Amino acid sequence: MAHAALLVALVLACLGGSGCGGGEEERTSSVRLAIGEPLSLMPGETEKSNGLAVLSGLFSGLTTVDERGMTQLSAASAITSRDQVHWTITLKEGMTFHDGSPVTADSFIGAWNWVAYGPNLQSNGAFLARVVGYPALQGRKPKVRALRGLRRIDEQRFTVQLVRPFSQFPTLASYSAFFPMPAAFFADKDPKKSRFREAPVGNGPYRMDGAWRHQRGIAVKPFERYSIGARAVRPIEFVIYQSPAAAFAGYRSKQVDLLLQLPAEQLLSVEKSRRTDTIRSGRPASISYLTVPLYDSRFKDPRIVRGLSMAIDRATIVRTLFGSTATPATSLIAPASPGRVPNACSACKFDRKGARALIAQAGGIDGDLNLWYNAVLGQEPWMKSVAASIQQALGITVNLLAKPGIPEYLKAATGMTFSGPFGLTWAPDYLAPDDYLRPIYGRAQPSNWSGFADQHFEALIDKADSTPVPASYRLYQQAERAVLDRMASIPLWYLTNVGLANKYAVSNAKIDWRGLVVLADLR
Amino acid sequence: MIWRTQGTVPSYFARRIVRGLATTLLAMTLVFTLARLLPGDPSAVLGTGTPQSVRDAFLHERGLDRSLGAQLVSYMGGLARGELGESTSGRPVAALVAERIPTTVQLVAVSIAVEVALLGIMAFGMSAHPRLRANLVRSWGVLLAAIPLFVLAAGAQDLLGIRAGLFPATSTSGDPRELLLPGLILGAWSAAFAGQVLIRGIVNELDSEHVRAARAKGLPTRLIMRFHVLPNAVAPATSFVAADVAAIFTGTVVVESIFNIPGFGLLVFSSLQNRDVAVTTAAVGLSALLFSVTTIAADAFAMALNPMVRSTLLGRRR
Repeated sequence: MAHAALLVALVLACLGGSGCGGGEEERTSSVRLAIGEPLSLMPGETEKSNGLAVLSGLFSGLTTVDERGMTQLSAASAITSRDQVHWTITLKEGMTFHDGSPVTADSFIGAWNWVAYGPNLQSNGAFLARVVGYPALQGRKPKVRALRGLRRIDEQRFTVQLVRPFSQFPTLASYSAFFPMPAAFFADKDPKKSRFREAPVGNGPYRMDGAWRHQRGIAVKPFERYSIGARAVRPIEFVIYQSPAAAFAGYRSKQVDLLLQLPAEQLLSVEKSRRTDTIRSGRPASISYLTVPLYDSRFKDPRIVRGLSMAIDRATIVRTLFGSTATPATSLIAPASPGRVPNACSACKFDRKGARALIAQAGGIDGDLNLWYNAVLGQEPWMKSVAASIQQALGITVNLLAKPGIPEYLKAATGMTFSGPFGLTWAPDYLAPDDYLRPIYGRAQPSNWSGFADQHFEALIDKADSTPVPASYRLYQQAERAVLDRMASIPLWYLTNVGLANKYAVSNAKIDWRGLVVLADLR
Repeated sequence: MIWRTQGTVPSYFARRIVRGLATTLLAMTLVFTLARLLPGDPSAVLGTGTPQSVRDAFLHERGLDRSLGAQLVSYMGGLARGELGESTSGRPVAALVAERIPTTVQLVAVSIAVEVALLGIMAFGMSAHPRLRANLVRSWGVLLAAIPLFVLAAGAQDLLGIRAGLFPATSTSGDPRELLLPGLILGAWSAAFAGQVLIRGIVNELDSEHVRAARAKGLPTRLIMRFHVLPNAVAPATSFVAADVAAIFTGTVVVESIFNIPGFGLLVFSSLQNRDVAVTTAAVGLSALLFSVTTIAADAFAMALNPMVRSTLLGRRR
């Protein structure tokens, strides 16, 4: 019976004990926030929310985009340009990195050069392609290490020369590819910069508290000498979860106080339960849409695609699948972005008769309609609904097909081998109308997977880029119309970021347009 | 001795070890080849907006743009020098595996302890009314074994972890106590299988002649169980438990993902998702090696317990 006794003792220890239940610990002052394991904490390699969640606390870029979608100066005290090509940046005075070294013009110039330098394999490097001299830094062994378009004036000032005029540059500069790096980073001889990888030294309101504990967590604490904005108050423990489902379990058992990624299957039940701990972003910034393979001759006639778009009952799908976490799309540019017009898409309203008539006019669809989705991104439920809606409205056969993983999906997208419209969700890197248009529909852009190529569109986008804000907005809207005339994609809905915050552990939790918590505001 | 023996005990194990190593290498070659042939591109970890030039450089730096044969040769060459290569994330595979293994070994140890404890309770609990209890244990075992491990683990997490708060529901700090509930589940789950073997052994023994003889002599059930039934019935179950180590290792993939334990199982899972062939191959090699070791250990154990097994395994004929 010795074994049995041992087991009983074990269980009893938990029943009466202190440490076994997750919720019983004494509350510390750290806010525990669930994230997934970041791919990297290097600004030049961070584009996904897991890494950005941490970096948004560790670094302060030249600008920042607030919860309302407005670009605000952050490390810069001024960013000016007369021609949208030459930009002069003046930095705030007295700023320091977490290691005490000063934040100067060189911190930015050096970091941008390092990110742009091809052999450093920084996935965000292409964001610097707008700066003059970028191509000279590419290839296996480029001779040049510095972007010709960056010039230091003095400690506090530098100039940026762009390849083409770009009115959204101040907004673009808020992105992680443009964060500064301290002198110690460049002095570090290790080509992989392992020390910085594990514990980045930034200039943001938070500094690392120990190194990144892979698969476990990342601890950060308020940076006492932060001078750019309000100082942070509460230390943060990023608790790393392997899946949204496990993170949800952790939140329910009070092992974490904040949860930003709800498992897809929980979204609606959380929504319906009218719980008081949900937090949500303001106006949505992400958009889900079907990319139309214009390289397939069956979709050449815009009337066919307009018909398909009008056959989708967005309102019903959103109500049954997303609740208030999504809103039917009426344009390509999401509501959080400045310079957007609602109802730009005239074929986004459900109209069964109109859809049938349009498609009949165009001579009907040749054969069955194939719709594609990615099996690992949680697209299945909504793609099923879209397929069913089109099938019912048009009375045609819709085949719903899946690619097993992200690599396969990307391969078919870039190789242009999809045999029908395919589902995608776009989350902008920076909040400007430009980022909803050029990367997806511009010529030779990495995410242009519809095969859309239009002179008129290019001309409008170029013109918008060279026109100062806010006059440029009208031009972006015209460019949007050029895409919608051709129906290179079918807008579906905008997504609002929803999270959960335990109000007994943390207050003032706000989600911004990227779905990230505004860390320094946590109380 | 007029017949030729098939081998001595040491030479038998030497052959088993060589065979185990060969199997491991074969499995690694196979997985390396298969994983390379799978559709998909390791550079996808870079994200969707990455330009092709960066992707190409990424593949080139890691040698992933060479032919399959060249990659296999250089991988195996590295293996011969004791190198496991680099993950697509740029970290050495050996370091990744070394980082993950201790957690999983702890989890497996807790699970085996729970399994042995449960089997002990079963065995000694049979002392009175053995047949009735055997049936009880059997149906309980069938029930438990019929529930998919995923459902079992998620259910226990919800009831015992979240609602009752008896255990940490997920692993967040690496505190060993976080392994209690997952270990309990894995242990109970594998005991459900091993229990069937144990019970069958006990029932067989109860029907055997020497037990019937003992009963005819009026020996009390308690003593019959302790001296006649259990010693013989426990042996097969024990070797089953030893072989179970490998099965539990496989089960950790499911349990680790539910309880957020960053162990070896999750490493295998994510390496498959990311087309991280070096990691997958090393993981499969390690599993194959482990399987060989545990089965050899189980046989050695069985041999030590029962000389009959020795002659069967060594192929001696009487």
